[in-house]
Amino acid sequence: MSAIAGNGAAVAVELDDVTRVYHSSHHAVRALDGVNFSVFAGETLAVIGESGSGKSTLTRLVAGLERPTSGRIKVAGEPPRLRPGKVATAQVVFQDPAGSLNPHRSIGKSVAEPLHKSGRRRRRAIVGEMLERVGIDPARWQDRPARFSGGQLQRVAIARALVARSSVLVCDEPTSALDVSVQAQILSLLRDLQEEIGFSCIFVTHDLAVAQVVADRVLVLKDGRVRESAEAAAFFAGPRDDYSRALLDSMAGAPLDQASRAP
Amino acid sequence: MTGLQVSGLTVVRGSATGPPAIGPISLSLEPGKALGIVGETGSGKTMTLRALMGLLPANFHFRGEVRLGREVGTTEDQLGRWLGRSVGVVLQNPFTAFDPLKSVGAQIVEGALRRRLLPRAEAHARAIELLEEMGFAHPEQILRLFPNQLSGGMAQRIAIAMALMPHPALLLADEPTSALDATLRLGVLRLIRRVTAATGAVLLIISHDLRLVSRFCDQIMVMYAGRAVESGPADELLNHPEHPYTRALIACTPALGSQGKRRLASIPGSPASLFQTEPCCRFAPRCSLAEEPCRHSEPQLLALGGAMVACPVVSRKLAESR
Repeated sequence: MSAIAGNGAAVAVELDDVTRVYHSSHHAVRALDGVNFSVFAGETLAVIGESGSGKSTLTRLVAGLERPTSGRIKVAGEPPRLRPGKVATAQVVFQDPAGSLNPHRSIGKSVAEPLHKSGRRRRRAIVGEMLERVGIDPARWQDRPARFSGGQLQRVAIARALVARSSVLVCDEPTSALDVSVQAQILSLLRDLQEEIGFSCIFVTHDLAVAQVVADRVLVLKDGRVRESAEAAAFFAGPRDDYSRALLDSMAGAPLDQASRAP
Repeated sequence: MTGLQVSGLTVVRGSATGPPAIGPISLSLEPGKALGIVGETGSGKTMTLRALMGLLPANFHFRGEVRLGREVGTTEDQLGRWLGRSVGVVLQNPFTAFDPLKSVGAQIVEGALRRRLLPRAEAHARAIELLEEMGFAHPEQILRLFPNQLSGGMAQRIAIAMALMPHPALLLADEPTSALDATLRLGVLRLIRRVTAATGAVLLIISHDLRLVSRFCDQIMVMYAGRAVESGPADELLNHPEHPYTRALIACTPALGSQGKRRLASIPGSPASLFQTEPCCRFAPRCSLAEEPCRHSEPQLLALGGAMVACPVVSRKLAESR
């Protein structure tokens, strides 16, 4: 069951006054502090922030890997919770594809993981189809991660995330470890798959240029708080928040920096 | 002639016959100028830099001639001896530059003292001065810190100061900001540029981000599979790229602009290897302009407008259209 927003689109992810506090022996850190936002069905929300802004905590909460200290989260109408034998409602594509796949397991087995309830033959058919869809030769399903490049592994990770037919995909800096030409391939792939399958996407990034390419809407996080939440077009035309503007200026600037050139 | 002149730099693996893995690469830079070497993973940009440091992996051999100021180096050993004296190095991960058990103050002067380049008091004064230039308001306090107390941005600025201690005539920087937050990158790059321009050091900086380096380098060289495919003035290269690879690379790099959500152009196929047995244009299998001769002969860098381009097809088409 998903709630219906005012404009008629279904809400895929909803955060209501979410706070997450981490305690150490000396002090408490509010990694997220009263965060509110929604992601509508089929859209991409870019979450922008620097190191320490709380964007990774947000990923973990939506994926159900952690619970909020206070506040409510709903993914496809229900609180995200990992239960043994169940597949999480929101799937995650992490930054480091090599680190997110078991090096001892064939990529086919890794991709098939969420399908443990299907029969063997059906599982193979789905995995083969999905590998083909992300541009990996299905004949290589028995190969281990070490035999693939970073870009290919990220394709495998995307196949694994989508094989469970989750309605929400969280991408945590999925291309920041990749070369620009590979980044372009992966971003195009995500876009094609989203048009075809229609999942909602939370795309976490510190790169505003990448955010502009993928986002329908933008959320700027700083020190665990939402500084700005806006339609992408309006945000990039002129952010309302001072911090957002500083962030945009630090990356845009004049096309050629004459001031810092030779004396 | 002072500054840096590299002529015919090549890197060969083992006793391999056939085309070299890297090069030949030639370049010439006046003191205080900056060159950005741009390429993707496996393009040979780091290997080129390691050749200049005299630190190639075992079984790789350097050939060519490097002139830096009045010094001439034609062997790896000769180039290796310049490290920490006339050549400074800044690497991608700043924390690999530090010993975790020593204070910043002890490490920053260590190289200069050990090579007897400066007396202790003078080295200390220079460290303070460099840290001030790197934007630290209280350098004395920084000297007392240990590496684990530094943020990534601080550590990289200190690593740059450390590389500049011996007044190097050449600073080699390998992706110096890719481990830093996007908001810090431009600031750190500007700092490197400002200090090298002010001291007259030549700066060679490696990056995979053409748009980023073209904002503060004088010259850009684009590498693909061990070859320089295009080189020229930064604005010329960014705004009027000629080589099919440079064009494709720029097209697939996202840039902030008036366009919103969109599909990026991408380059079909995957990157070529450094090690090939036959001469050919290494970009040909992925190139939309490729013709039969491209698969059998190595293209030479030819002057085209203000730049040098290694693509006979583009050169011919431009000549025909005139």
